[in-house]
Amino acid sequence: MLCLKNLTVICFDQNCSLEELCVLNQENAELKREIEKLKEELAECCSALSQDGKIKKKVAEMKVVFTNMEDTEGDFPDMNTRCVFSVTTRIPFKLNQNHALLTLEDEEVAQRLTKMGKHTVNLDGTTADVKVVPLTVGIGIKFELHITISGKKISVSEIPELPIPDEWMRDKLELNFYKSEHGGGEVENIKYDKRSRTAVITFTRPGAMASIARGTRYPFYVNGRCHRLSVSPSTDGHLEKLQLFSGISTKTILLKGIKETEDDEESVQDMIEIHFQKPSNGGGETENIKYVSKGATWVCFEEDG
Amino acid sequence: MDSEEDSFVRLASPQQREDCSPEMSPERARQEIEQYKDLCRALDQDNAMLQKDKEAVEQRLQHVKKERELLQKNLKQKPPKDEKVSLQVDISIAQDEKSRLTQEKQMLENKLEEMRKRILWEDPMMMLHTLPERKVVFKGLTTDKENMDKLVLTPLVRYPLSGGSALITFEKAEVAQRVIERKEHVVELSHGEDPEDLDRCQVRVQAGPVDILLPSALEIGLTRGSRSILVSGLPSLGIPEDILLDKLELFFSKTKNGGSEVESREFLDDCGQVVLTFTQDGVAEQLITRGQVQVPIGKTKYKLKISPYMSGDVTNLQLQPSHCTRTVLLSGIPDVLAEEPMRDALEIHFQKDSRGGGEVDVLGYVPAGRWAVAVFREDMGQP
Repeated sequence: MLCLKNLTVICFDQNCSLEELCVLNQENAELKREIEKLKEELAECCSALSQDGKIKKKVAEMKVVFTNMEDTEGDFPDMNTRCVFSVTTRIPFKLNQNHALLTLEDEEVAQRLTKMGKHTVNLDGTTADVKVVPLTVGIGIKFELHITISGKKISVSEIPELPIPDEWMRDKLELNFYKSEHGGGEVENIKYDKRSRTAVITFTRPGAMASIARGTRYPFYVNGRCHRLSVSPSTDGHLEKLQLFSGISTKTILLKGIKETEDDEESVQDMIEIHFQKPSNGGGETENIKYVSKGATWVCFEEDG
Repeated sequence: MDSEEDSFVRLASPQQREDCSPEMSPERARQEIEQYKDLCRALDQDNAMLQKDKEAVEQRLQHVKKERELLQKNLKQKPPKDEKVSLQVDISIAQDEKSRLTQEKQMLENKLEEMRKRILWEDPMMMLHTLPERKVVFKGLTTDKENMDKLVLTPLVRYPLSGGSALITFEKAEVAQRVIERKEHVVELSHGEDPEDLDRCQVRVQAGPVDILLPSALEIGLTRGSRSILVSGLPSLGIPEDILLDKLELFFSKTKNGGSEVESREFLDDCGQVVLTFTQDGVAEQLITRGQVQVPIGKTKYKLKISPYMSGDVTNLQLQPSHCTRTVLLSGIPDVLAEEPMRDALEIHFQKDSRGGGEVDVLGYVPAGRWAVAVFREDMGQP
């Protein structure tokens, strides 16, 4: 009996250990699966994030004119062009078909019309059930862009890679740029980076290369061949007074439900405006109106004041 | 145990038998025979049960033996003692792996949560209600799909002008164009109206176009200050700025208000917003999540909005030369007259239609050997 018991115990023990091992192996396999899933989700998040946090914008074309001279401080001019560009708030808004934007002179009137909600507007022959709907304008951005364009430094890129020491390359660049025939002048300093194939060249006198526009192809003669370098004035930019805000419309309301009629868009627009100008309809003095009967139009919200 | 006892038949003790008389009655004998028969039957039953048990155990033994053989095969034919040891080793290896994997999983989960939080922050719709509010209005301005997303900038350019040059802005672009096309102009400088005056002289000046580099595209990298908040909705109370900053710092330095030690505080330019930076992490985030805070200033409590503080860097800037349609650059002006008379002479010359000029808006002159700053602004006039 005794030996039988022992054997049973041993086998039971082994079974326990084996079971334990099996369970552990299962748990580990499950953990591995979960880790793989987490890694996938993390990769997705990373790709979503790398697109955010950056704002890319094109700038609307500007026209400038000379307006006045300014007194200079200090005797030694660095001959840099200093610019400040202030952002004018323009938040785009899509105005859809059968919708209208109405700006009231008085915030209170706008509030009242919104509270009333539904309005029955008389159009030529018919009536329209017009509703005031919520208006979300969106994010606005405001900042000052400060740019300094160097009068004496230029940025050169797309420099060909040559199997020569950096010092010789700097000499070649200087020889190429000190000649004035393509615009150029006495060189004060050259910083050359072989890896990025770029250089920053500082002239002793400002105005050398004054007429360079960005990306001008400047000839670089070396070893009997002519390479075209990309040349532009060295510029620096930074932001000041950056503000992100949520645009809130207190005077402009969004109307919907103005169905297409036989009349042209402008007539309907006028009739709507007339309706909302009357205090008997809950309205008041209006400032602007835009009604869209076909398709959609993009409009801009500006800062009040 | 009871059943075991029950299965046993108590045999009469020897004493009892000795007490019996030598002569047994037939009744007695029959009784005793029955008793012994019962006893025999019980013993037979016991025997049978024990036989069964024995068989069962033997079967189980066979079964377990087979399992052991299988185990031995799986565990590479080790003798039972070593098998047990190697199994233990495998278990501890598996346990180690489990704790390692559990740690890795926890770390990934934490990272994922952090990332998700960041995305929520950077999700435009989520961000919208955390940002300070500004009133906007529709003034009738329409745009199109191509231009709706473009940044509208108001320029202010300070352009260095070296000596011996002048800048003229004409009222009309055609005039400027004409002057530029003519390239060289002979400007009369006369002190007197008398054509025979010896002081009368002429100077040649060169006319050229002006191209100003203006931004055409911009890329901004936004960073959210992790320990900073933007406080907006501040009332205009007429108290000095630094007093207001003091009151805000005192309020937000207290943990009971959800704050902590304030590292720095300052007004964000002229829009009445304040930036507060805390020394500790996590404080700003909590306050931003709350969104609004009642802050006592003086005797009244004001509802202030708490927003994330964003700072931005220019990560890419593209410039394009822009031709000034109404401005002309004159160069090569010799220093033969004092500044004022020279400027007047130039203006008079270029205003004359007969000289190819026209109505002049502004003229700026820098004598040779000096330099000045020419300011360029948005062209509000005719194109």
